Amino acid sequence: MSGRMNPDLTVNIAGRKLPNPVGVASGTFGFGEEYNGLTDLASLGAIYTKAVTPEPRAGNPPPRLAETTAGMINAIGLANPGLEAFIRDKAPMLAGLPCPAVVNVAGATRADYIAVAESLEDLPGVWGMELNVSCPNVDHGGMAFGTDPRVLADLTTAVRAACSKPLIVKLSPNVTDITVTARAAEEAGADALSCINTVTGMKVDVQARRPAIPRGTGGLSGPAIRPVGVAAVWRVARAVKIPVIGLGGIAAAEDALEYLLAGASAVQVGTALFSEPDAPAKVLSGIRDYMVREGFGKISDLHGFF
Amino acid sequence: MGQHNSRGGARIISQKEVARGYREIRLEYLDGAGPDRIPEPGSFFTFLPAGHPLQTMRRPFAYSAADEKGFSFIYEIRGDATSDLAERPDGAVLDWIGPLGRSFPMPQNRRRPVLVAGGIGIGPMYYLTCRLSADSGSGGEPLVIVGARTAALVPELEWPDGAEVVITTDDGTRGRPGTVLSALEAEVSEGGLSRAEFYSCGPHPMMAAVHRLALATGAPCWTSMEEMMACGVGACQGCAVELAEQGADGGAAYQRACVEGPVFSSRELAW
Repeated sequence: MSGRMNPDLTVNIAGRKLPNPVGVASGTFGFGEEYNGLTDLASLGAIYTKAVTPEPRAGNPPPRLAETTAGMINAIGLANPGLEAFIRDKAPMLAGLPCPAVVNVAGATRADYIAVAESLEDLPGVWGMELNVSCPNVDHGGMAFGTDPRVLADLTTAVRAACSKPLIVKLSPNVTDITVTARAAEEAGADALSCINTVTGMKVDVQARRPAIPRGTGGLSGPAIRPVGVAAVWRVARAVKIPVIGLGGIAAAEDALEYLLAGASAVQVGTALFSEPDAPAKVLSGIRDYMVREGFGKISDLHGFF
Repeated sequence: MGQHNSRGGARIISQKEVARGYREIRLEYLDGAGPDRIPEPGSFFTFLPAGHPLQTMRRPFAYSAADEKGFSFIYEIRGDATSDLAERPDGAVLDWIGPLGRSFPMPQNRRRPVLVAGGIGIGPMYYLTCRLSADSGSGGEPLVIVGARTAALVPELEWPDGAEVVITTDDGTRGRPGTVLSALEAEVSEGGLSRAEFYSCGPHPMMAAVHRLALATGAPCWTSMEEMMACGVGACQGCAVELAEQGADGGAAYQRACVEGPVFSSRELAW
């Protein structure tokens, strides 16, 4: 069987294809140009861009980062150049990328999300959008939209109507039951779910007797949250019919395979890029090797073992 | 957006203590495969700590020397990553990404370069001194002021012939008693710094004081900022430095230490 030798690695979302299941997570890869020379962009399944809001955002006061054991906490605060500069400076570059670009959409109000989504409809370099309703580091919007299922459903419906491109909703793990928000997004028209955004975390500087990050809390990422992400994907994948994109602490092929076996149809590499910018290509080749070795013809064949 | 970053391996050739808790390490590129350009003073690289992935972030360090074959840097043992580094034997390999960030500009209009270093800021200041001493076009021999709390913390380095090096210690155990600032003010009052261009790297209060002196004397001043970094290449926005000028919305504005910095004109920054 030819599939054994050359597995089909494409990912199907809303009838459109991503070339392979390994993307790079929003906020860790800018708009794609920063890793020039360090990452083979052509090997990426997708670039999920830094969040775009209608207005430029400066972000939070520094320090914005703190390292923790097997993880890091960030409180960037959605720093981005704003929609106008994105369309002028970044979108043309996305069109020239050798891989699909999914724009991460954020805002402080419902109207903000709609404004960004509407503008993506006619941008040729934009494959789809990822709704950021799970950023823990802003005072308005962000996670507030992603923790109440009714608010999330209303926003998803509105954004769905504003742009016909594939709509991925990025879920927050900072909820009591992630399957509730997952179902709400699915019923409101989401084409896929990214699972999970960062976990609310805090580090205290015991000498200074204050939080390491002035904001207090931030978003924890890295290997420390992988089991949290895998568990969330496993529960969400059984609760919905749309594809689930797993992320949280993926640095190696085996990490990604945990997510895929738990029900994910694709994955994103985030924090691992900081230490090893070529991690996505290694993850992809490791997934391919595993599928060939174990006789899997396509990603969905990995599902359903448990 | 043409910046092309390189990543590779470099073998530790030697390392030695240059002051109590401070080490200078020399590395050579594996198979001679370095970056496409020789790193300039002020630019930096990041390395993957031995504790990765329990340590998730690469460590940024400014170069203290660089050529086609390799590079050096000076580090202070102050955490797990640098403790591990001090234990690594010669021949061990570091995974580097570099050169990153903006380097120091050369002095303008034949101004005399005045370099002020404290603590770990010694590395890039040493490299800049070597470069300035080799550059006959700059405005006179560089004046280098190196401050430390006590004699044991003064780095032992081979300073180039063309540099005037003034050591200060807070406790007076070596060199001139007092801080780098008192030494600088003495130089100013002696009229030696009428056409200076300042360069500083070290503790924040020291750099702020040099900035204020530069403002008072109308001299250009370049500051190298040390910030926590995740990506080091401009993607994550983690290493924000606050600017003096507010943003269009009237709020704080920031730039990235890794791309727009780490070297900034001190007048651009909020102090």
